[in-house]
Amino acid sequence: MEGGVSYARMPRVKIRELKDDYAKFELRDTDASIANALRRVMIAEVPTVAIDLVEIEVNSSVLNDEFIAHRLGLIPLTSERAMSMRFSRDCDACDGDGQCEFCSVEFHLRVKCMTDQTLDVTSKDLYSSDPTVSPVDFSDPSATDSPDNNRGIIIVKLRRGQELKLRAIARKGIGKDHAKWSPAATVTFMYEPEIHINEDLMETLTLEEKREWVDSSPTRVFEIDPVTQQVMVVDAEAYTYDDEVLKKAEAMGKPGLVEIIARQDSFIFTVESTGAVKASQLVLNAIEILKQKLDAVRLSEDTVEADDQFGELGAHMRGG
Amino acid sequence: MKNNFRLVRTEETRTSSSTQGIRETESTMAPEWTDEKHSMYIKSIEASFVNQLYDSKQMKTSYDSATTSGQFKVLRGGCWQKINFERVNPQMSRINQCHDLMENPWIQHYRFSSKQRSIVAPSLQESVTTTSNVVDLGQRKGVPSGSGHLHLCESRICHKDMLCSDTEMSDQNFVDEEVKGKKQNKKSKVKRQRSLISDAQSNDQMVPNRKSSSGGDFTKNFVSAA
Repeated sequence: MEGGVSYARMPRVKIRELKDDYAKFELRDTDASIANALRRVMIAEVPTVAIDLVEIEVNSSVLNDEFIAHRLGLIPLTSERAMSMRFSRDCDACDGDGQCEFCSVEFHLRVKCMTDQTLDVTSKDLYSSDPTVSPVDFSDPSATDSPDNNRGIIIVKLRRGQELKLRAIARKGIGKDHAKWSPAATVTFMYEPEIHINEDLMETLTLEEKREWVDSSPTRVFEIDPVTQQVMVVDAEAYTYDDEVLKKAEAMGKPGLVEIIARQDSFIFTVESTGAVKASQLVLNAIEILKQKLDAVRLSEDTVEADDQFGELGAHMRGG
Repeated sequence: MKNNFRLVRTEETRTSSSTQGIRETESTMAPEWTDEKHSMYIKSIEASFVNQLYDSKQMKTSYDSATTSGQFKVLRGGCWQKINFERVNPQMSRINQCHDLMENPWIQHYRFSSKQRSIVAPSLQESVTTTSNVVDLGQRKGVPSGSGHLHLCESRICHKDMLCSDTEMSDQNFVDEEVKGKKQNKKSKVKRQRSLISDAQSNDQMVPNRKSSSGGDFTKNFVSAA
């Protein structure tokens, strides 16, 4: 890979799909280092809010305290405000206690089963001290009539007489510390494949051989045009780089039948959010974190330049 | 498998960004990768993404009245900033593109095609060229108390978050000794002003050890389970 050449181009982004919890976009004219840095930052370094401390007052359910606390920690909470919140360990308002309104959000849960029917304790039973940080709502807006809709994440089930009373503290964190803080269900990217079919070799195959070769791919990448009887690419991105079609071509005695190259400067990103942050905001936050990391590197390695840029602030940050 | 995905580590990006080029003798033929170019590079990714986001949200406006058309909330320099984007007419976008080409002499493989025209929003373009504005926004961030000293402390805390995110966290269970050690580190931090690097190293994340009425073991169980 020619690093200098690929770095010299200005990267381009094109959004293909965009929902609240899903985004698909292309990142072009850059190389894998930037793409992978973006992916890793989205997964492990974008901050969110998650329950971090649980004080259980009453628990007569079948699950023990630690189990319920663990399940509470994994509930995604809306975290639009997380980027501007403080980490508990750095908060000077509560002296590192991690319980003030600048670095934490308090939740309360009080449920008791009074009927013979089993009671589901869900994330909707959690009451937040801050309306901007609340359990993510998984209701489907288009299916309002369904009784299964409007349900939250089940924490525990209670039978008659059983009770659960607790207080929980949610704090800001990143996925590198604990996966519960990761805002991404998953973030993947793939190299865009470039597929070239050798038409001369393809013409030497019979229709049955073409059908057999097309079916050798576990995903539907190629298809036979019913009119012209020619093999065409229907979905290049369905290719999983498994080399199955290449092996099949060699087995049929046509080693150069198709050539598939992974383009080194085109990436197809798929971002799936847990709901804590919108998928589009997740990408923007990741880019912002990348900028901050770059600034931190520059600040620590070039102190003279940092003084010129940050002035008194730079000197103070270095403690000089 | 030939075409396996190669995992490029984040350190490679950091190494590239820390390369110090000689700016006086910077030639167009062989541009060196400097911090400014890296910043501009990442900002152009953001500009491209936000521009696309604006286009798609414009179509969404008729369905979602709550969304403010053309307004995005972006965190800059530690505080939230609402950026207003307005549509640039085709003539202006062409002029902007030529201006970009002249302003960045190190772009040597950029090809202008009328089919795919990248429109850079004016306000974001301004933020791409001016780095000091970002720092100014950080300095202007609101502090709970009005004193200037706390204001600087707040900015230091923001930057400490950046350094802390680089620190590798251990999965060890917390013990009382570490908690006491943390308190000592906190006191020494107040007395003598350490550099940011040593602050980051000593700033491991710990859950505070609260003394509840039901005893220490009770609290520790919950802390580890959460």
